[in-house]
Amino acid sequence: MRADRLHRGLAVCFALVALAPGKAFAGPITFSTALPVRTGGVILREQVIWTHAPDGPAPEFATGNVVALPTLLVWGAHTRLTVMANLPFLIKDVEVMGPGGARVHRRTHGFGDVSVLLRLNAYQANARGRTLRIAPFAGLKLPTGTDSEADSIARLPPRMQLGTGSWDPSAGVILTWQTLDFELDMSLSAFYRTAANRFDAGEELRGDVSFQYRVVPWGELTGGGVPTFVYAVLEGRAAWLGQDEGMRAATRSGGAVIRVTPGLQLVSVRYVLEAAVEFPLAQPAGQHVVAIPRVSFRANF
Amino acid sequence: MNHGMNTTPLAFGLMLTLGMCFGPARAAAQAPSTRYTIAVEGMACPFCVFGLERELKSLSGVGEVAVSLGESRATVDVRPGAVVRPEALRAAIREAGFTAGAITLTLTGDVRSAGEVLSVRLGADTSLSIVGGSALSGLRAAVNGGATRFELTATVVRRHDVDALEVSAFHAR
Repeated sequence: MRADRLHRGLAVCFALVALAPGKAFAGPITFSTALPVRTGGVILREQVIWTHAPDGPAPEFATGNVVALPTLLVWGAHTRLTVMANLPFLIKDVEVMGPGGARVHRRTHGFGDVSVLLRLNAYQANARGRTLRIAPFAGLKLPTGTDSEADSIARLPPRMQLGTGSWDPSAGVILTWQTLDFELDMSLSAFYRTAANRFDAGEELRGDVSFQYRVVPWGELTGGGVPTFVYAVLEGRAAWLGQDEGMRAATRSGGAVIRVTPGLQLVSVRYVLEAAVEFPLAQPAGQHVVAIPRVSFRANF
Repeated sequence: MNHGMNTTPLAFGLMLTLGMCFGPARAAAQAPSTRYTIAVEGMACPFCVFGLERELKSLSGVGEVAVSLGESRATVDVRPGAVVRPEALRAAIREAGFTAGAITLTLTGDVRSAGEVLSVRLGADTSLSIVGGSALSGLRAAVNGGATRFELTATVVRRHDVDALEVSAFHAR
């Protein structure tokens, strides 16, 4: 059936919803940190994340492009509590092989699902020029994005929609060890996905690690003031994605995820500019993403 | 001129005082009457400094704030005539997500004696007790000799949950 075939092709490319936008602070690029936000302070982060999947294997031969522009606001509600809200703008474009070998484009764009996350600063050990922090967090993705988009062919499949229609909780814990020379962040997180629209995305268990090493100014920090830093960044992710279920689920989904992400960060008192490229070493069934470049901008208010 | 109990704190105090009065950054400005130098623990990147500066500057009476990331230190100048208590600085640093370490205070103020207790006035209704320090005996002798106005360099300490001072150097005005 034509719709089923297109459906499979789209699913190949759109496990891209799993592209969780990294959080703010001057920490990792692809996930969050346990570093503080001053009480009443606000951090704004804007990102551009491009995911391109070239022609995949038969029978789908799907080519996908997703550009995500998430806007993240971080608010220091209390010395121990930080609130984050994320609103992504998504542009999705997939080209699939239709009946008779014709290539068919399916496109959509608009705001996706809003996510809200609470992070508790549970433990901190501060010393001169260094800090160790542990912060558990809990989040909820709300079904604010459109989940019933259709084009001239049919209703778009679940992973092609801007929103999922489901309420998806998540939880985890972050450990951050920061010194004047480097920062190490580690995060364990779990994402539970509820069913909506006869589709239930697979659950996810994820481990992230980020190492940022100061390369400018090089060596021991001397003199007064607050110089602008440049960090060389290396991040890694290992995750397990459960299979999608439901009548509208793709035939192939779920599996291991391993990604390595080198990057650079320019960090000043007020701003952070950063760029990184995620390279998938292992991907869930049906995915064939080559690289995920991203650039990001953060500002303190 | 009166002297503290040993020369090292005095030299340190004089350096601070001279630096305040004649340093290039201060050449065109009036020297502040009160300056806090605070060790800030847990501060290790430029982006984190923003919140600290904002919290300190938001305090009533605070003038200039300068942060040295490499030295893990914040310097807070109090506006002439204003009063900023040390616990307010500690609270501001906590609100920024960090921990205040040692606080050193360099100020010009009136030192009063009430029995054995010396105290320095920060403002009309605010004073800090001087409870110790290497220069305490010399300061006491100077006060008993009739001097009242001093330049002091002191470390802020907590005594029974109240801020007090240990004076390391002084200079009668």
